[in-house]
Formats: sequence, structure tokens, C-alpha cells
Amino acid sequence: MNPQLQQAFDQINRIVLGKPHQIRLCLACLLARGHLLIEDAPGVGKTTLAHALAATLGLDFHRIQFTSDLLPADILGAAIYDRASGQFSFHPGPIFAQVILADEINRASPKSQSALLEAMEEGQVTIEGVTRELPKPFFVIATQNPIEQAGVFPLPESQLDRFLMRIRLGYPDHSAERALLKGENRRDLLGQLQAMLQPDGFMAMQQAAQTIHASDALLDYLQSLIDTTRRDARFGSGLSPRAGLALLRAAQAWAYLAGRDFVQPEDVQAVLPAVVGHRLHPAAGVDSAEPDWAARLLLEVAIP
Amino acid sequence: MRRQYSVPELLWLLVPLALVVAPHAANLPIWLGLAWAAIAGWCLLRAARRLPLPPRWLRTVIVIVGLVAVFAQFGTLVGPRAGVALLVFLSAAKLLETEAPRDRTGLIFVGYFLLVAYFLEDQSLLSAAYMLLAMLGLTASLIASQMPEPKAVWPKLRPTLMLVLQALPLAVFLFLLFPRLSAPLWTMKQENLASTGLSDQMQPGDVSRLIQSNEIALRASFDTRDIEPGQLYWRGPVLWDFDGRSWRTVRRVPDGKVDGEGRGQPVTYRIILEPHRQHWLFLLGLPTALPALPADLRSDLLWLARAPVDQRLQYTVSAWLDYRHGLDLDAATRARALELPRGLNPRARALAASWADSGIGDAAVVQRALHHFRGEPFVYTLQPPALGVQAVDDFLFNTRRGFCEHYASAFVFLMRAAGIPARVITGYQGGEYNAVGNYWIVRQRDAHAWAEVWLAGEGWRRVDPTAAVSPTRVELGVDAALPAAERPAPLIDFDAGWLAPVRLGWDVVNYRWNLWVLGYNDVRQREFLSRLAPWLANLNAMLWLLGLGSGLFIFGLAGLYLLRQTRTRQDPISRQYTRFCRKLARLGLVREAHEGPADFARRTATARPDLADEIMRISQLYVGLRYGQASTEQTASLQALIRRFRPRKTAGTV
Repeated sequence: MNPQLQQAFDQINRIVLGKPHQIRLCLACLLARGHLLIEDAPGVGKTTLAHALAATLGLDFHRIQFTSDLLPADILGAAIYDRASGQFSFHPGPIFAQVILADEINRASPKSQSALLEAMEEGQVTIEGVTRELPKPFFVIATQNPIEQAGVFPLPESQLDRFLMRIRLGYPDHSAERALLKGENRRDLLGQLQAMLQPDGFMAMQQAAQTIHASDALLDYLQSLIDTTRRDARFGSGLSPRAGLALLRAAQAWAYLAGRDFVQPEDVQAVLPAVVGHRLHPAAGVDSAEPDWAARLLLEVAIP
Repeated sequence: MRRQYSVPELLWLLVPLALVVAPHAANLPIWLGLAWAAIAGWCLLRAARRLPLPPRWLRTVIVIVGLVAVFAQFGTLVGPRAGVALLVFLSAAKLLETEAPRDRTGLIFVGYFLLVAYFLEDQSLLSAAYMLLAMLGLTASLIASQMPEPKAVWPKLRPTLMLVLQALPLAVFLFLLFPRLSAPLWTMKQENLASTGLSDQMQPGDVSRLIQSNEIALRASFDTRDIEPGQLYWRGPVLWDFDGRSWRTVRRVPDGKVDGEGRGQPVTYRIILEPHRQHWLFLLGLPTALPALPADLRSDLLWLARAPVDQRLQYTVSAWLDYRHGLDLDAATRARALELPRGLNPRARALAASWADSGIGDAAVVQRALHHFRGEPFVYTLQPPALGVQAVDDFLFNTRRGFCEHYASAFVFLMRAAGIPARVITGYQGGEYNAVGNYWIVRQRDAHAWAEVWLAGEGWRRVDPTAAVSPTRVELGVDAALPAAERPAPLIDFDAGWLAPVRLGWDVVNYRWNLWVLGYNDVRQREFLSRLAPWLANLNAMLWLLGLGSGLFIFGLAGLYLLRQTRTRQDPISRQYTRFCRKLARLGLVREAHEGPADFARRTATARPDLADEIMRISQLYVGLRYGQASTEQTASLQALIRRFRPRKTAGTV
């Protein structure tokens, strides 16, 4: 791995204990210029992870706590009359930052959710007729509680598709939990974090990740994965071409993280559950309690 | 694994089963069909309302009641009818508790069995087509039982059709080559099969009843087109004994062998005889060569099968249509052919005696009698008035209205009374020529009776007194001969102009079906195969080809499938890697299809630390070549590495 990336990885790993695979996925997601959705129960360290990522990458960081009464203007900003100058001046909202932590995104009303999601897709926002560029790089790290919890507005499928990856943290294992209980308060540790990367450097890495070689043999494998989801009656609808591209980008970033200049099937396998998990839905009438569709998909598709 | 089926899932099971049971229901007692429908309906209701299973004791009671009812109906539980009834009932009973997938599959297989069992009842083309449909339904049902989504129809039908299409060539191959036995392995007694046809005796009114039936008696094709309907006297039972009212055939024929001589060129014809449950096999003319059937030709040219004809029978005969036979008449036969009941019909006797006494000779007497029928006002009618005890007298001198059996009977009576040996022949006359298929269709309505008289120096000569009264009967058939008002209702619309080609075309299809599919017996098989290749027509060659061909077919399909699977592996790099994997597989380290090469290398290297270096080098090289941008020159070194990779089985820990 690139030494700078390795340092960043180590630092985050010290804050969020026992989750190296998820941290790698987060890094790969950001390297592939994707937005990240972290989904899990409250209190497993979603916010801490997002914080640690932003701080380590040296990016400026805003956090928006989504609530049911949050309005789009609270995210984007608004023009406010300034009595001293006698003019309206624009007060940018929290969206104008390189990393946005959209905490508990599924608690906000669909209107506010879509204000954020538009910004994610376009890289710019239009407020009162004026289009304003968002800073670069621009990441949204959204967290959400699983749908089963009360008082939430689940994100529609079209908006879920905007997130490159969805990861789940899960509970820490026994030793990580013990370290957590014995160690310092995580919030205090966050304050001590140093930026390990510069924005320019990170954008260069993003460029490099995009040029990772994907051979025909690998694309064969990728396509047979996608075809399987389209032909299989268990899935309501197969993966879209956008999902296929996302899978390739994520696998390239994963290969870049591993310091390789080409993608191999294992890279695809490593990122696939995070990339397609929120994009595949069982067909009507199929028992949706089936454990992890993505893992079964991987087992069923042979590597050509 | 038990779960309740939803309505669409249940329909996938019920509809094909109902398709199979429905034709059986027509032959089974009505309560059985009703019980089946009721249980099926209840199952649907249960699925819709999510009701629980009926309690076990109730199911047991239903099964026992059903078994007892079937036994009471048939008096047995074995035999084709009772067996089918039992299966139909049990299939309904099984529906009552069908929850596990195994039950469902089992039911579908019972459905296949019922499907085949229906061919014991009916083997016509239409029912075969219907059964093909039902078979598709059952197969789709079997596929549906393995598929999650019950509502999609096409995804189930498509593989079904594919399966059937793939099986079709094999089925045709097996049909053609599987050795046919000259005698069936077992015989199926057809139960209470009602059939119309000629019987071994003839009373006034018998033939006129047959005339109402459109049922096919036989089909015949000739090797020549030069056949006149007037030549077609299909000979059936020969009736010798007269008791004043009815003519009977005799069990034991007057002795003597078949003797005769033909004139002209013999013709060859093939007859497909519909089952009539009697012994005789219809013949035309004097046979020169008879096929090797279990049947005997009697001296009166009656060809008797040793067992009643219960199945459609096919035979090819060469015969002279112009012939003489029975030139020598022995005393016993002569006596029999002259016997008349005593004291009956004095006026007819007197008339015959007056002809005989005029001393004009036998042949002239025959002409005289025919002349009598022509000259007096005789009427050919289906509705003759009732005859008294002196039936022949009554007919000849009072009513003078009758059908062919009246004329034949009266004529033979007159001849015997005049001292000329004579007998009544029943059979069919004429038939309908099907120009589409170049064969004759002979129906029950072509039933006919005529006479044969024995003349010294000439033998038995056929005389048809009906032809004297109504020549059209022989030339144009029974429809034309009868007065319009008397034509049987089914016959009137029957020949309606525009439908005739359709009807004849359909009969051709049936004829070919009977000839080539149902009638494909050992003889035809040999005939067909020897036409393909002479060396094929023996049992050994057939068996060899059968085994070889089916093996080739199955392995060919499997090979095709495998080829399609592995076509993507054709480039040299992956071929090398496959070799490498095979070598590892011999050590018990099998690569899963979904396992990436790097993962596999890690796993095998952990399992066999002694080989780790080699495995890693090969794998890295392979991954670089296949997924990376390594130059293709390294392919050679990959090949070399893999060739040198010769792991020993025992080293290390596996």
C-alpha cells in the first residue's frame, strides 16, 4: 500500500477498533470518488468512523444532523438580509465542505434528503437561481439506522443508488471491545488526529486509481456476475449499468489500495457485497430473510 | 420441510393433474370424477383461506372409504380399469396432504403414470396429441416445483419445450429401432368393449341395423389403382345352416382343402382391420400368399384367427380377384349345402322345383332365379314389413320388399330347393375410395350379404341377387341405392360437398397413424429397416445400433453442454492454469469455481507449506498474465513452471 495511505489506514484503525476491512472499504470508496452509506444500529461507531476519515484525509468537514424538521435551506444555506450593507448576502450552509457527515439521513423528510442527494450527484448546488460549485473533493458520508427502527423515512432505491457503497459495521469482536472499554474516550482521541494526506495528494491518488488495469478476463467475470443478477428470478431487477461501473471503480480502488496495478477477481469479490448490497432486492414472493444475497451471488458465479 | 402452498403454486400442480385425470374420468364411474374434483376444489379453498390440514384420522377414513368404494365397484383392485380407478382416487387423496415438495413430485410422477395408462384405453391420434399436451403440463409442473416464482408461466414452459424437443429425436430413434416382438409380452383384455359388426349368424334385419353405423370396419389399399367397386366383395363369415329364420355359420367346416385357380394377374392389398372381437379376417378373392398370422384358412375360404381380433390388425395379402375354387364337392359338403328345414316355405319349394324340373340345367336355373327377382316388383328398402313363420314364402310372394339379407336368404333357399348347392356369404361390399391417400374405407354401412352357388365344372360362383334388384347398390353404394326418404340420418350430411375433402384428409392422417405408428410391428420394422439398409434388419444389428445410438446421443448432448461451459477457457494461459489446478486437485486441493486464483494459492500454500513457494510463483505469474499487463512472453515460463510442478502426494500436512 502507498505509505501515506498506510499511515492514514493505521490511524483510523487505532480509533475504530477491530474493523480493518470496513476501513479499507471506506478508503476504497473515497478513492473511487464515491459516496458512502454506513448503516447500522446506534452506538457502533458510525459517526466516529466518519470523523476519523475526514480528519485523517486532511479535508474540511461539516456534520449535518438530520432530523424530521430539517429543511433544505438548513443544508444548502440561504440569502439573508444584512442591515448594515442594506443587501442580501448569501450565507452558505453546511454543505459547503469537502466531507459532509450526514448523520442519520433517514430521519429527515424526503424533501431534505433529496436536497443533499442532488448535491451529491451534481457536485454543485443552485440556490435562488445562482449555481454554486461545491468544494473538491466532495464526499458525503451518510449514516443511517436500519429501517426496522421507528420514525424513519427510508431512502428510495433511486437515491440509494447514488451511494457507491453501503457498509455495515457490526459489533466489535471480543478483544476489540475490551480495548475499547479499557482505552481512552474516542471523542478525545478524535481531537488529536493529524491529517495524513493533503487534498491535492488525495485527488492525485483518485486519478491513479482510475487508471488501474482491468483485463478482458476480469471484465468477463464482472459481466457474468451482472448477468446472473439479471437472469435470476430471485432478484426483482438486476444490476444497472451504473451499478456495474460502480463495481469496477470500487474494485480498481481496492486494487490500488493493495498496491497492484491491475484488478484481479478477488478485488471484485472483496467490494461486491458493499457495492451491490443496497442495489439488489429480492423479487416479490421470495423470502427476503435470506442471508446476504451478495455472498450467495459470489458463491454461485464461477470465475471464467 | 413443510409449508402451505399458495393458490398459484397449487394451480401448477392441479391443472396438469386434472388434464391427465379428465380423459380417464370418462371411462370411470362418475362418483370418482366428482370426488376428485371435490377434493381438488377443497384444496384450492384451503390454500386461499389458509386453512389447516384435515386431521389425520379423517384422511385415513377418506382413504379407506375410497379403497372400499373402488373394490365394491370393480370387485378387485388389480386389472387395468380398477388399477387406474385406484390411482385416480389415491392421487386425490394425496392432494389432501400435499405440503412437502416430495409429495408434490410424487404426485407428478403418478400423473405421468396415469398418462401412459390412458393409452390402454385409446391410442388414436387425437388422444395422443392431447396426452402430449398433458405431458408438457406435467413437466412444466415438475419444473415449477423447483422454481420460486409461481406466477411466471413462460419461464417454466420454455425449459419444458426445450426438454421435449431434445428428447424428441431420441424418442423417434428408439421408436424405430427398439426391437418389436411378434407376440406381445402380455395381453391386455379389453373390458366390456362394445362393438358393432357382423356376427356369426344372420337374421332378417341384422344387416339393415349395421347400415346405420358409420364406424370403420377396415381400410384397404391396393398395389393397383385399377379397382372397380363392383369387385370389392370383402368376404366374411360363410353361413351354411338355415333354420327357417336365421342362417348360421358352422364351427367345423366340411372337409377339404382350399383348391382353386386364378385368372389374370393377382393383386396385393393391405388391410387394416379394426377390432371386431370375432375370429374372421376379411379377404378379397382367392389368396395366393397369406401372411404368417396365427390364423387358418378353411376350405370355404373363411380365414379364421385363432384368437378374437381385439386389437387393430394389419395384414397384406396377394390374391386373384378373378378365380374359381372348390371344383370338387365331396358328398358331405354337398349334403350340407343342400340342407333345408323340413316343411317350411312350400310355395318357394314349388317354384324352385318347377325350375329344376324344366331340365334347363343348373346355370340356367340360377339365371332364372335372378330373372325372377328382376322381373317381379321387388323393392330394395331398409324398412321391410315383418315376415311370418313362412319367411321366405312371405317375402317372395307377399311383401317383396327387403334388404340384401332377404334377397340372399331367399335366393339360397330357392337354389337349395332346386337342388343346387348354395351358401350365404356375409361381409362388406364396396367402400369409399379415399383419393387423397389412395385407399378404400370400408364402413359398417357397407355390410352386405350375397350368395355362392356350386356349379359342376365351375366350382363355387358368387351370385349377388341384390344386384339384380338394385344394380346401383353394387355400383354406387348403399346411399345411392336406397330411396331418399330412407337414407339413414347420419349418412345424409356425411357426404356434404365441401366437407368431404376435410373428412377424407383427416381419415388419411388417421390411416397413416394406424399404419405407421400403431401398426409398426415386427414385420413393418424389418421392412422399414431393410429399406434403409439391408444389414440393419436383424436383431443383433438393431440392438447394437440402439445401444450405440442412444449412447452417442446422450453423451453428445452432455458433451455439447460441457463444451459450451468450457469454451471461454480456450486461451492458452487459462488452459495452463487448468492443468495446474488439476495437479493440485490430485492432492485433494480442489479449486472451487468461484475461488479467485490468489485466494486459492493462499489456501493451498497454507495446506502444503512445502509447495508454497512453487504455488505462489505460478499463481502470481498466472494472475499477472491473465489479469495484469505482463507481457505474453512469460506464457512460456508459466508453461515451464507448471510442467515442472510435480507435487508428491504425501509430503506435508493436507
